[in-house]
Amino acid sequence: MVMTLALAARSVEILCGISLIIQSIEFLNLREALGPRGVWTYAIARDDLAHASRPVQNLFAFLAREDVWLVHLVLRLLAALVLVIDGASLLLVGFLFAGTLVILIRWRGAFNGGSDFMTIVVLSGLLIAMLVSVSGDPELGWRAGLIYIAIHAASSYFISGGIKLLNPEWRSGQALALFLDGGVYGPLSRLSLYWLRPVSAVCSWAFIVWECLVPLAFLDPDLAVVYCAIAGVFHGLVFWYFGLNRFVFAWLASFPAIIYVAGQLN
Amino acid sequence: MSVNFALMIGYFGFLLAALVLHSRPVASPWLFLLRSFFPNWRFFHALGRAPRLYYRHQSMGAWSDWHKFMPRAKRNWRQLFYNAEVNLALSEQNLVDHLANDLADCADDAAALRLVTYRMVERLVCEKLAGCAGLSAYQFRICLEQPGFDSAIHAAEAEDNTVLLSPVMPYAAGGA
Repeated sequence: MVMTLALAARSVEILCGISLIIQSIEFLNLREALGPRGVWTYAIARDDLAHASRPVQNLFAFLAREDVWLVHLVLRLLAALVLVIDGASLLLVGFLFAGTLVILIRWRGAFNGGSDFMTIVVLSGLLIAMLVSVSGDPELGWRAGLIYIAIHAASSYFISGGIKLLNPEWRSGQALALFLDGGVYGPLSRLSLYWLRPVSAVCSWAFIVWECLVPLAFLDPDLAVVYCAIAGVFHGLVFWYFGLNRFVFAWLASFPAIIYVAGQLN
Repeated sequence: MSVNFALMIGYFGFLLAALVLHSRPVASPWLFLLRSFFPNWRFFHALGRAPRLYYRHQSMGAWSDWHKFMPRAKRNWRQLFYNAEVNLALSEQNLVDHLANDLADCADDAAALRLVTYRMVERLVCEKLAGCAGLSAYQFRICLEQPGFDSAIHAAEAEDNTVLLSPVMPYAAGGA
């Protein structure tokens, strides 16, 4: 299965838009945490920007105002909807990219870790596509954007698997059971099969081997489809055990880029 | 095609070398705030002593036991599409992690009290205590614990693991 450039580009737009819609709705409902009575109140958070110039401090103080924050998030939600329905434009992607940056700085650099990283990666890919398109070569722009996303997505699996492979606690299966036990949906029942070392070791090795084998996905577009299908299951399990729902959609948005690049390499 | 594959093999070889070789961390306030541009894909990479927040309160002159802050939730499939509360709870634990990191670089106790992370965790504790009857004061501490550590069973060891014990603070309704 070879994915065309048009299909890959449109798929990334739609999946990225869905991911941003979910994130925006969650952020809209988390405004209290950033408000004057919240943990992340700007009265304290502004000290993170003490090193910045006065104009930058003033800009972030303005953006952090409750009314401005609400307007920003509503506009972001609408922009994400437009991305799904109508596709990307430089103005739209530029706004979503800059807005994501502002949101992450307001949450002291990251809100949800890896999903923030991948959201920035996909938006950067879209921004590359739009910037090159504006200069007159949309096809080159989309190719560059998709390759950028595919490289980061593949790196994410390879590094995540590699770092576990180098760790004896992951290789023995001990780490998996203890991370699950400390997870948000934990603790594990004393009767859980994950406490059995052979079971947790087999599960750990399955993830490690699959993550480290990501280069194989680029040998054949059909392999890329299979790899991404397994990745979908993997992210579903990560959500089920750790509550990381944003990871599912952030990574889904990168799959068309992986499949497209695998097709181009063959 | 062979050039493409050579580049690909070279790239993954480079990643592998980066994993094996140790590098010095680079610290800067802007790099911290913009760290999402420099993805760290080392998820759940190693077990180790994790920072845990404990807090207690005083009501009618008596201190409560220490309560452990641990993000926990009941799962359901709808959370796939909307999981704000769980994501916030995970961010709160990240805040505790960042406070523990900041403490490692802190020169003295007075400097610790001025940390952004310290003041935010203080508010987090107040938020968790809101609604307690007759609340007059509170205190919190940060402990570094091995996974699976049970402070109820190993109380003395919990004391040894403490890296920060806050002063006793009078509780003001509405937060720190």
